[in-house]
Amino acid sequence: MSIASRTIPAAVAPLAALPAQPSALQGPERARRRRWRFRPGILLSSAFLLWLAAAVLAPGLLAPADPYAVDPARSFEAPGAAAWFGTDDSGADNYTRIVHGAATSLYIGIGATAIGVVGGTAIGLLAGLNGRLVEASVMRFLDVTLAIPEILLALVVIGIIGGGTENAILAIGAGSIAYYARITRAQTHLVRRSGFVEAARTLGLPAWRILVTHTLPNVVRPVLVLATIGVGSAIGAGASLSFLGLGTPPPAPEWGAMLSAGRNFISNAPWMITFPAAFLVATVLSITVLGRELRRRAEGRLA
Amino acid sequence: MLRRILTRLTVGIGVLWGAATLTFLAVYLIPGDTALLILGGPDARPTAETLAQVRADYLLDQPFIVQYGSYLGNLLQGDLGQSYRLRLPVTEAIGQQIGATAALAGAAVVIALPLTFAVAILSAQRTSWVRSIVPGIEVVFAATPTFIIGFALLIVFSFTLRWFPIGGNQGPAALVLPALTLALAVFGTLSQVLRNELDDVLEQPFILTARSRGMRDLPVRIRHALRHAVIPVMTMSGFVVAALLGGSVVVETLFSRQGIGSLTLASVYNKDLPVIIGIVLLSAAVYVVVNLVIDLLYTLIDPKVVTA
Repeated sequence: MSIASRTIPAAVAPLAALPAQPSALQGPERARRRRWRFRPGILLSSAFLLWLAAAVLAPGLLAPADPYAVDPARSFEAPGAAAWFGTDDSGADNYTRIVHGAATSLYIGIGATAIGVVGGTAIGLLAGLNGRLVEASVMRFLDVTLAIPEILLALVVIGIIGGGTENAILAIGAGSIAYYARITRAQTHLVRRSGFVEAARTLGLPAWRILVTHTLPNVVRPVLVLATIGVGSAIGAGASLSFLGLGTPPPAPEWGAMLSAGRNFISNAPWMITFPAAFLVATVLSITVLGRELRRRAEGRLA
Repeated sequence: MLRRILTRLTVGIGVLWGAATLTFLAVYLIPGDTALLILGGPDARPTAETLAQVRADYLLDQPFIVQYGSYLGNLLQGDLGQSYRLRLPVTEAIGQQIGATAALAGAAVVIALPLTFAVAILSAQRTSWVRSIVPGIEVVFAATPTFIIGFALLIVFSFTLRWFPIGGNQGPAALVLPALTLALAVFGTLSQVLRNELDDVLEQPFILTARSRGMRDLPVRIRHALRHAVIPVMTMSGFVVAALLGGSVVVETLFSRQGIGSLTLASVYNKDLPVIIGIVLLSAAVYVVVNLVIDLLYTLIDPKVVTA
């Protein structure tokens, strides 16, 4: 482990280094224990993501009020029976806005990850499947992008194309391409040298068929597993950009933008911060916890 | 050894050249009139003569290769161009802000590293309740967006307990919460990596040997296990640089601090491209230098690297 991870690029290392649960139990006894272990983290995360899915698919059911409705007479109302999570400076209901903001967060998270995965997989395959010259030049290019922090890359993209929800998605996605490209390339190398590809080649299968039926699925699957965790961090990055005033612009109910507005009222209306922050953290954490579980299960089948 | 340093140095310079070229291309290919941007955006309504003058001054009427060559030539002389917004040389604009961010990042490292090592060393290979709680805390810090950590510290320590000022650059007290915010974000990830390594190393036979010689638990962890476990953590230096530089943007905004982060943000708002390019090159340079230093440190910790 310690020798293998030395060759893993820095950005991949935190994901590649998995807790290997030491266990004295072996065989069926161990399997039985694992199945029945009570895992509050997984349970809570799944429950929260179910709620989130409901908030995305049918926000009107969870919060029937209009998220844009303002009522200056009710501004800065503390959390209570009338407004569960309180109201903001313009009297808009915090709970309603949080429920309706879920869709934007998930849209940014999934959209950005999709851009990163599609772009990264393409570049990674290009590097992994072609000759040494192509591979070397692609890898050097990736080294350069690795030298620039993802958030700075995203800021450069926004500095050029401007802010807004869609541009934020593009910026965050572009920033993560190098990360996915590196994983894809490493995985491509692994799969190319694996027994089943070797066997298919020996059987005389045409190259394109080996690529489509053997190489691609086995390269893409682990990348998708890592991408689930990536959705979590992309949601965090999207909220950060909105907090900086570069993502989704204000009247829209978006968690990062709500936090940005709440910053000016921490002392008299801390609930403007605590509730959106709690939901943002719960979302990112739930996705991360479940993504790690997915990765833990997938890892037995890889490598 | 010398050859190793030279190779690394060449690679580092290559990365910097690549970063310079990439940013130049990005700016060159932007749709829109750079001359107009220099004069203050589409609302500036400059006269045709001023526009022509700016185009000539900034070589915008020249072919690509001339612009690129002059850009690289200026870079070699340490000239990053003029800020559109501040009407200052970019090096000066960055120079004014770099001290504040260096202090912030330095303080964050000073908090994060001891915290990481203490937590990982004390919690590795424990079957007690420590082992079930600590990883959970780390995941929370690693996954939570940096500005949320900052908000939490701000609400608890500034607004409720009133121990620290809510922001600004004045004095060491104002540095504590921003540095702690960055440190906690770094700690979450680093500590996970270090403990996983320690978990593996502590299973090794030589650990058992050390223990059977009667060595106490803590010295075994520090003197024998840590030396092996620390190398993968050192490969994370790139992550740490990125977390500190990227994190400084949100942290400086949240705590209303001056620094490279707030300069970046102001430049992005105003499409002040020369400053953005300058900051990208600065971060690439920091990354290259840190990696070079870490690479040389390997040889001190693991003599096998030199012969490999």
